[in-house]
Formats: sequence, structure tokens, C-alpha cells
Amino acid sequence: MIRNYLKANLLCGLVVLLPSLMLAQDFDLPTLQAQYPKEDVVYLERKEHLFLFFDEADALAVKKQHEASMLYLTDKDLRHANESIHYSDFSSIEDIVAETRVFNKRKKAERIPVRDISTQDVMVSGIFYGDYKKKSFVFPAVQQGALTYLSYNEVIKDPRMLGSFYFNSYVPLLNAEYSVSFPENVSVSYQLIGENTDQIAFSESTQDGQTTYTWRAKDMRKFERESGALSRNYYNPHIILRIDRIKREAEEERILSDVTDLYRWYSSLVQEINQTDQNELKQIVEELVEGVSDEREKTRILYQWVQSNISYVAFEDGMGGFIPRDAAAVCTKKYGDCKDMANILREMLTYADVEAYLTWIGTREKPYSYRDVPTPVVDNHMITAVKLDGEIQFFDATGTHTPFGYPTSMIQGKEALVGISADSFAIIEVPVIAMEQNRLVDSSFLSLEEGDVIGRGYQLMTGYQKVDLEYSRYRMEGTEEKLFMNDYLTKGKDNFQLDDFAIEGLGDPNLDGEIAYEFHIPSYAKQVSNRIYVNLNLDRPLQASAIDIEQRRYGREIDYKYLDSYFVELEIPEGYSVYKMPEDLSYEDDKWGFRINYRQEGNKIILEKEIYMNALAIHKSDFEAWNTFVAKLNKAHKKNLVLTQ
Amino acid sequence: MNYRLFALVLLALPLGLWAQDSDYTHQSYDWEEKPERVELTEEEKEADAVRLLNRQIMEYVETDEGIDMYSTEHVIVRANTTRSVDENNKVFIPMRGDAEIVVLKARSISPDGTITELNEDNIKDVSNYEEYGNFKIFALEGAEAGADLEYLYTLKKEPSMYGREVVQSSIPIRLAEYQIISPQRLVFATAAYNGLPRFKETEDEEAGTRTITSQAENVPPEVEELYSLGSANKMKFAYKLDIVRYQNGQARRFHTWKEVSGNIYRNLSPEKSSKALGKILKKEKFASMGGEEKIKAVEQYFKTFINFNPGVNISEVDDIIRQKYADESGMTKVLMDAYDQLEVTYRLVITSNRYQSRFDKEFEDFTNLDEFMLYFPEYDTYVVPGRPDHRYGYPPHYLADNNGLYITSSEYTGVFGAVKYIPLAPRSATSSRNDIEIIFDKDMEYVEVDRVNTLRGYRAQSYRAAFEYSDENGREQLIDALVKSGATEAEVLETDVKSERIADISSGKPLIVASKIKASSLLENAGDSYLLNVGMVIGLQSELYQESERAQPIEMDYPMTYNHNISFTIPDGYELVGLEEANLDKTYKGDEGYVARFVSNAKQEGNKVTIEIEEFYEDIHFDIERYEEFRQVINAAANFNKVVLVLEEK
Repeated sequence: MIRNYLKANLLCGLVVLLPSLMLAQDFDLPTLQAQYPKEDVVYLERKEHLFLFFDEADALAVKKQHEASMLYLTDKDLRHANESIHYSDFSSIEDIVAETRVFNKRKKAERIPVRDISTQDVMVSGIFYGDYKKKSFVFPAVQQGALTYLSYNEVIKDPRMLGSFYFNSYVPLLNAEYSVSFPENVSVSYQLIGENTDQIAFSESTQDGQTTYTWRAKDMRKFERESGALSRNYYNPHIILRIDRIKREAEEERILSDVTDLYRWYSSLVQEINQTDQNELKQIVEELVEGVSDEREKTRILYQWVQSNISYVAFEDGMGGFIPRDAAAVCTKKYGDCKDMANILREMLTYADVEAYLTWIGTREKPYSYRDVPTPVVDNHMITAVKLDGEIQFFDATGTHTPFGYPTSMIQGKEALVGISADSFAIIEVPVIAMEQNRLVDSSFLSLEEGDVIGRGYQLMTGYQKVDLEYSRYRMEGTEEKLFMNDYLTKGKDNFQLDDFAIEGLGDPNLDGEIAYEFHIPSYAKQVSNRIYVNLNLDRPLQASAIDIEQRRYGREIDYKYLDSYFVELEIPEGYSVYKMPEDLSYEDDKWGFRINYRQEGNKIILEKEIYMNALAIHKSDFEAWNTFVAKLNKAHKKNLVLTQ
Repeated sequence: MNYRLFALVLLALPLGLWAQDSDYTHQSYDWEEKPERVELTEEEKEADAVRLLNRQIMEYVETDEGIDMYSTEHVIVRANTTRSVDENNKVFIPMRGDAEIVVLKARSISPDGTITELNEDNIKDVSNYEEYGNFKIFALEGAEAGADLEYLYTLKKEPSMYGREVVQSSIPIRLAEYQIISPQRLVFATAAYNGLPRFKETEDEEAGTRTITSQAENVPPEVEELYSLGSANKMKFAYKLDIVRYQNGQARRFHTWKEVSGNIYRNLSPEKSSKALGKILKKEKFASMGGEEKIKAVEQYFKTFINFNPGVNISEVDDIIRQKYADESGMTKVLMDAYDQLEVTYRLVITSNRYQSRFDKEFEDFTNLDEFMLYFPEYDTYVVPGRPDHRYGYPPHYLADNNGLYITSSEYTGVFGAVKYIPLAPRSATSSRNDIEIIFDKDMEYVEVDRVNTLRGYRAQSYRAAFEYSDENGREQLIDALVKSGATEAEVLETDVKSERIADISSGKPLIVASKIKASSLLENAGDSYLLNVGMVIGLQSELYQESERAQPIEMDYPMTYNHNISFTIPDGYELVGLEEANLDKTYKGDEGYVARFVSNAKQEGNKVTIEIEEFYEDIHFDIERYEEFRQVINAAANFNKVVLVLEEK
């Protein structure tokens, strides 16, 4: 194995030495400028090479060699010269070579090295304290035609944490290459994910007992930031590699050959927790569930206790990012992150004799399956699974306002890895909440005074629709509640004035949300000569949601399925009668649709409208259908009622 | 920002010869061992949270080596709601320089009196966070709704000889107290703003200390309002070491405009000019250009040549030219050196962003020396070295309508500084003109809106900056937002943008965005009639519809004019009803005529309809007593949005 170790270093060194040999200009600037007229920079190359080898102690070691060259096609945006290498306690960064190459007329490069590299802690949004760090520097002397070159080695401390590699970038990437080399007694697996992975060329070679797998892709389009898009992991071509096993003389060491190995590792990390004195916590549980025998009710009480008593504060330092903190300590501190909440809830349920399990899960931004991707890349979250009436149900206490019985919307439809015991697990899909459970029902009763609309309204919210409002209220801090409600309830025109309101159920996860309100909208109806024109579609959701099919590259994510119902009743002013009723219209599809009906009852005109969304994404293949739906809905929303004297 | 520039000032401070023990006098300051629960007033109960106490003590102690500073902060927050627990249970203590913790304790006191003290193991270090330096961070343990969250710490650190503290926060404060304790011979001066009571002085002869204190009770939370400065209006104070008395009875003033003018100028403009820079000037033949052309060309060249990065540490011009990156003072040095070598007359101007802090002419608050500009007296124009998105001409609006320190250097008089007012560009400089033609679809499904939007001055500048720094996708979104404005459901057919680059700012050319859109939401059906939402073609206007008492002075970004000239032909077979409603006129008059006005004028001749709109704001300041009139003008534009015309079948 020593021989192998030496060779590893030799190979690692080779990559670092290579740049000095290739200093002649090997690109043609005008050609590339013509090819990318709208770009300021392109990556000529981005490479990662993963080197697996045995160290002096005969343990499997991992070194990842990074290399990237960026070419400046213009002088317009020199900010690309500001570069950072991000890492955490799971790896260390070594042998940084960073320089700018400015080519002269004979196409020979002057090399200008980066001078100052500063190491900084990085604060990540949503994480109070983490071990995230970056090395930051500025490439000097960048200008049109210059190339910036960066290479470094990343020593990965745990062979399970290999990460993933994306074959595209935020600027066009001409040559993307990912490779791995490993000794013959090591086996690896990989998964290619995203669009156009068939354009990634694979090759394999073996030399001196070292096998190398290489994946190459050419001329990769940059990815775009599109609003409301599904996570980049759905589209961007990427590879997730893992080490299956190592054959030793006597036995076989399994690393991540399948989900059993992944679970075995996860499980080993949680065996030593909750070893301190848990009596105080037990006492709290006893008091909370005293006299309650129903398991569902016990679960509700304890879940809601964690929801409202443990504040979300995330610590992600080293293995602390994987191991839940002691339940008793979380109880005293009254704060924790997802895994701390998952653990304290599991622990409390156990004390209350309810069967509960620690559960790992990836949120919807991770479109992976545990079976295909049995590596830590697959998930990013922890929850509690509870066996109720013989069936597993999922509880995520990080959702401060999530109603009992609902998962958080971000994990709907995702596979959960439920830790049944130290060595057994189950993979179970979290349910997607049906649209009928996420309702908004808004009724308004209107009269007209000189073109002004005077109204009374009543709104009911259930499920995630209520959760959404709870979060908006949560964020409004400092705003007067009436102003907030005025904004939230605004309909008709922006001169909508909320006159009075009363709320019920908000702040209580066991109740639906209800708002009763009174309002007026000055000059909403158009009163000319002997006619009144009024559009009873005071709410026009989705109006600007048509998709630009030519431009849009990625599907749109929908947070949850929902069903909105509107009921509008207008009292016909005295002396007027209906001149023209708008026609009834509808569009009904499996995934989305609407129905609008009008009718007259005595001196009242009634509009009934339903809009439903029965999908969690608008995929590219759905774009045409979506636009048809939106166009029809908008058309229906343009129909006015005409009254005449 | 410019700490390095002021380093000289600190070094110039003569060290005390009266060696003292480095003990500080407020060592015995502590929290209540057995805290009693405070009753909230009805108003306080309504708030999410209340800062019951916000006490800060800054003590300066003379030692053999110089001056130490002991800075104490003691905060008690009553968190009324779960949300306010989340907002207030995390504490970040800045540990700039060599700061050391002398005291650090924190606890939560539950409504039932249970006290949970902070476990020291849970205090984490954050090192070198962005440009903010090191921090100690922790989360208060045992915090729950209704609890008092309390922390108290004392840091020993390098003394800050001047600074600024903002008092007001997003939650009400029951008692805010600020104290500066110093040896009697070090006299600190303060200026209190926006309602903070003046500091009062006491002397303790025995301890040989001088203490100044300001207390504010029942400080309201800050409010967000449209057309106000925001941060600059918060209750706050500035402090500085003002006078040092010597044993021999003499005294010297510190932190004067005169002293700082000299230091900064010498720092930014070293005696020797850069040769590397000189070579470029020669190569680019700047010397042969005429006055203003020369100034513009030099600015354009170096703002493109150098990667502006506020986080870099590089100070020599020769070095900057080689490395091609610089921070604000680096860019300033380069441009000053270039203009010096080209013998262009300029003044160095230093000021503050008026949205963050107003530059006080009377009080030498060095924290206001935050932004550099170069002023060219011959042309009455400015260049802002540290703003890549600005070009030669008027000062940016956030750096104008404010005072600034103008520093002149001449062979005869040396370097001297004077505080002067920096005017905004006049109303005539900034405008947005829309020439709009509405064309009806023959099937009356939609209208086509053909628009030429001509933008000048500050209005054009902000869009140019956005164009310059967005990628293709961002650029399209920006254009979309500009041309669709008001039409919620619309399809963009054509666009053409002229003079969109930042470099165009100094050319005097307007930014022109021409577009054609198909807007179906602007035309609604009503039986056999149609409703034209003509008001929306001017774009969604900002409004002040909500009636609430105005708290802050009314202040706009810059004076400007909007013009909209709308025209259309009534389709055959229809007649137009309701045009008179498109005539609006709201004004705000001053002594010399209109200060602000929205006026629209609708006319029909045959089947041709025109609506001409003018909206302008001559000044940016409006009397808070006349808020209602101001609001009427703003809302007139928003009311125009609601103008609907009816096309009835003949």
C-alpha cells in the first residue's frame, strides 16, 4: 500500500505542475467572442479529479483536485475576478495555485499570481453557527483576453462525503471533466442526474492497478436563475459518486454500496445520544399527557409542545451537523435545529409510550431516491415518524405553524428513511396533501354607492393556505396589523380600504383561520350615462403567471396543491336591472383548472368561482397547457356585469 | 469604512504621563442578582417585544501604554411572543481588533421566575466574518414567550475616539442610557439627534473622572414610511474626543475638520506621483483632450480598467495599476493622481449617504466621512471614484442635498477643508417622458401599446446601472418590467433600448426604451361594450392611500418631471364615454408657484383622443404640516391608474 500512497502524491503533484507547461495561448479570442456575443466571461475548463488511495495507516484517503480556467471575453464585468473557495470542517484546502495569464502578441503568457488569500468564516442564511469557511482572493490584472487559472487540492476527511459535480456553471463552460481513480480493491458507483446526461462521454482506463473513470462534457450552456423554478438539481447535469466497498485481505469493508450502508452509518451516529439525565424531560412529558390515553392525542400534545417551545436555532459544526443534540439539553436551552427537534420529539413520545422513530429526509430541492443515491447528498433534514393506528405518520416540528397531521410542505412526496432500530429501517414516502385540505374560501357581499363598492367579507383558510398567512404575519413585525391585513385582503384595486376586521384561529394550529372584514373600494364600478359596469372578479389570481415558453428553461415549483373558492354577491342598486350578465366559463384539467358561474337571485347577482391547483410542479411539458389555462382564466376575469337604469 | 485613513489621527494622540492602574471605575456594575419582574404598560403589552433596558457604558482608562477602553452593554428584552423570542434570542458581540471579553453573562428569566443562565460552552467564535471581523455569538437558553432575555458584557478593546450609536430599534425601548466615562483631562463631546436628550456632565474629583450621560425613556420603534430618509431619521448620537488638557495647563482640540482634511488629503495624494499611471496617461493621450472630455475619459478608462472591490487591501497607485483592483480609497488615489498629473483642478469632497446619516456641519463626526467625490469647480461637476455605476456630472442623489467636507490643496495655502452644501441636480435634469399610442385589436381582444420612454438624469442612471450589471436574462426581466408596467397580462412584441450603458451617463444622451406590447388586461368586456383601462398605461403608480399619522419629514429622492402623452383612435362603430374623468389636477403650491403637481388633460377631436399628463416635484422637501396636500398629488397619479373609458357600441 505504501507504493500506492507514493503514487497518489505523485499524481496529485502532477496536476499542480501542469500549468507551467501550458502557457502558450490555446484558444482563439475572436472566435469565442463571436460564439458568445452576450457573455463577458466563459470557463474554458472546469475539472475535478477524485483520487482514492490508501494512506500510511492503510486507511482509504480522498483527495479532490480542482482546476478551472476562465477567459475574459470583454472588459465589461471585472467582478468575475473576485473568487472564493468554499469548504467546511469536513475538508481542508491545500496547494492553491491562482494566477492571471495575460497573453502578448506572440500568444505567450505573462503570469501574475494572486497575492493575498484571506480565510473567512461564512454565515449561511438560516444557520446560526456553522463551520462553513471560504478562502477569498481577487485575480489581478484581469482584462479582455486574459485568463484566470485556479487549481487546488481538497482533502476530504470522510470517504462518504464526496459531494457532487455539476457539468455546467453560471457562465458557459466549454470543457467540463470529472474523473476518479482508485486502486483495484476499491469499487465505486455513480449516478448521473439532470437533463442531457447522454451528452456526457464516459471513458475508463486502467494502468498499474489504478482504474480511472472519466466523464467529459463539451460546450455546456450556463444555467439561469429563474424565479420560482424547481431546484437546479432537477435540471443541471450532475454526477454523484460513492465508494461501494473496499476488499481487504480478510474481509470486505462496505462504505456506501447501498442504502443499508448509509443507514448503518447514520444509525451509528445516533447511538450515543440522550445518555444524560432525562428526568426533567420525562417529568414534563408526564405532566403534558397526564390522563391522556389516546396515542394520537398524546402525539398532538407533544408535537405542539415542541413546535411552540423550541425555537429554531441551527448549529452545523462538523459532525454536529449530523448528530442530534441531547434531548434533555435541548429542553433546557429551548432551542435547536431540525435534528434536535426530531430527536426531542421522538424521545418525548417514547416516554409517553408512543412508538416513534428518528427519520432522515431530503427536502424537495433534492430530487433523489435513497436507493439510487445512498450518500449524504440525498438528504438535508430530519423529522420524526410516529406509528399511529398501525400506520407511519410524519411530524416536522420545525414548521412552527404546521397543523397537526400535515408534514411541512417542503417534504411532501419525498422518501423518508425511517430508523426503526439500530439495524433496521424503512423507506416510506411522505404523502402529498390533497388540494381539498388546503383551502381558501372568500365570500363577499357587495353593494354600490355612486360607483364605490361597499363590502363585507369572510375568509376561511385551511392547511398550508393558513400556514402561509401565519408566516406572512410572522414576518410583518413592526407593521400595524390593520395595514398588514389591508394588504393581505386587497381586492379590486389598490385603493381597497379595509374598514374593520376580526380574526379567529390564527396562532392556534388546531383551528382553521377565519377573517371577517368590512371594506370599501372607491370608484370601483364605472357609472356612465344610464349604465353601471362592474367586474365581480375582485380577486384575479394567477393573472401574470403565463410562462414565456421560448425563454423559460426550467419548470416552476408549486409549494402545495390548493383549492380556492370565491363567492361574490352584489346587490343591484335600486332602479337598475341587469343589462348583460357575463357568461359562465371553465377550464378543467387533472392538474389545474377553474369554474366561474353567475346567477341572479332576486335583486342579487351571485358569482361563484373555483380555482384549483392539483400539482406540485409545472413541468416544461406542461407549459402549453398551463398557458392555455391562464389565458382562459384571464379572459374570464375580464368579463364585466352591465346594469342599466 | 476608511479606518486606515484615520489611523494617523489616533497615533497623533499624545500618551498620558499620569500612569494609572488599568482598573476601570464601573467594574462593580452588575445585573440584579434577584431580578424582580417588571409590569408592562398596556402599550408595551401590545408590542412584540420591549427593550426594558438598553444601557451602554464606554469608559476610557489611561495606562502606561496609552488608553484602554472598557465598553459595557447591558440589555433586557421582554419577549412577548414566540416570534420575538426567535428574533431576540441570538446575540452577536463584535470583537474588532484585539478586543477581549472581561465580563459576559446572559440569562433568560421565565414569567414564573425560573432563571436559565447561559452555558459558556455554547458561546461560539466566528472569525473574520466578511469585512466585519470577529464575533462571539450565542443563543440565549431557556427563552420562551413572556420571558426577559438579558445579557451583559464588558469588552476591553482599543479605544474608539469617535463613533456613532443608533438608539432606536424595531421594538420600543423603555429606558435607553448611554454613558461615557473618561479621565477628566480627556474631554468627550457629543451630539444627540432625532429626539435623544442632550448629554449631561458630572465630574468625580476623587476618581478623577468625567462622566457624560444621556437617557431616553419610552423610545418608540422606528417606522417605515414612503418618501422618508429611513435610517438617518433614527434617534442616535455621535461622540468624539474633543479636547485633551495637558499638565502644563495647555489644551488641544482633536477631531477638527482642519486636522482631518490635512491627514486625509496627504494620505490620498502622496507627494510622488505614480510612474506606471503616468505611462498610461501618456499612452492614452489624455493630455491632448479638452477640459471636460479629459475628465470624463480618465474616469471611464480607470473605472473599466480597474476591478472595484471594496474588500481588497491595496494602497500604492503603482501597485493598483499592476494588480488592476482597488477599493474606494484606492480608486480615489488613482483618479486624484491622474488629474494631478494632467493638471486638472479639483477638490476632494467627503460626505455621507444622506439616507444613512445627515452630515452635521457643526459637529465634527468623522463617521460621516464615508464617501469620496471629486469636485471640478470650473464645471461644477463631480466624479465619484468608489461608485462604478456613476459617471461624471451631477453628484449621485444619495450623496447630495447634504453637507460635505470640500478639501482644497494649493501651493500657496496648503491643504484646507470647509464644509459646504452639495446640491442635487435641479428638476430640469431628471425626467421620464412616455409617448404612448394605443391601438385596438380588430377583434377587440387586446390593445397594442406602442411606447417610447425617454429617461434623463437620475432616473436614467439607476436603470443604466441595472442594465450594466445584469446578465442577459436579468436584462430581459428588467425591460419586461419597464415596458409591461401596469399591464398585468401582456406579451412583449418588440423592444429597442438606446444609450443604456453607464458610460452614456456623462454623454448627456437620454436613455430611450421603445417598445410594443400586446396588453389584453387593459381591455375588458362588458356585454357589447368594452372598458379600456387607460389609466394603467402610465404604469402602476406609488400611492399613499392608507391614512396614518405621518411620523417622519417628507423627503423624496430627487426633483423630477414625468410626462405621459397618450393617444388613440376610437374604433369604428363605437363611441367613447367617460373621458372627462381623465381630467385630474392636484397641486402643492409654494411661495413661487407650484412645488408639486399632477395634471392630466384629456381631449377628443373627431375619433382622435389625446391625454397629456404632467407630474412634477420641484423640491424634495415637503412640510409635514401639509402632508395631506402632498399626499393628494402622489395619489392623483395613483388615481389616474383607475381611469377607465367605456367604448359603447353606436
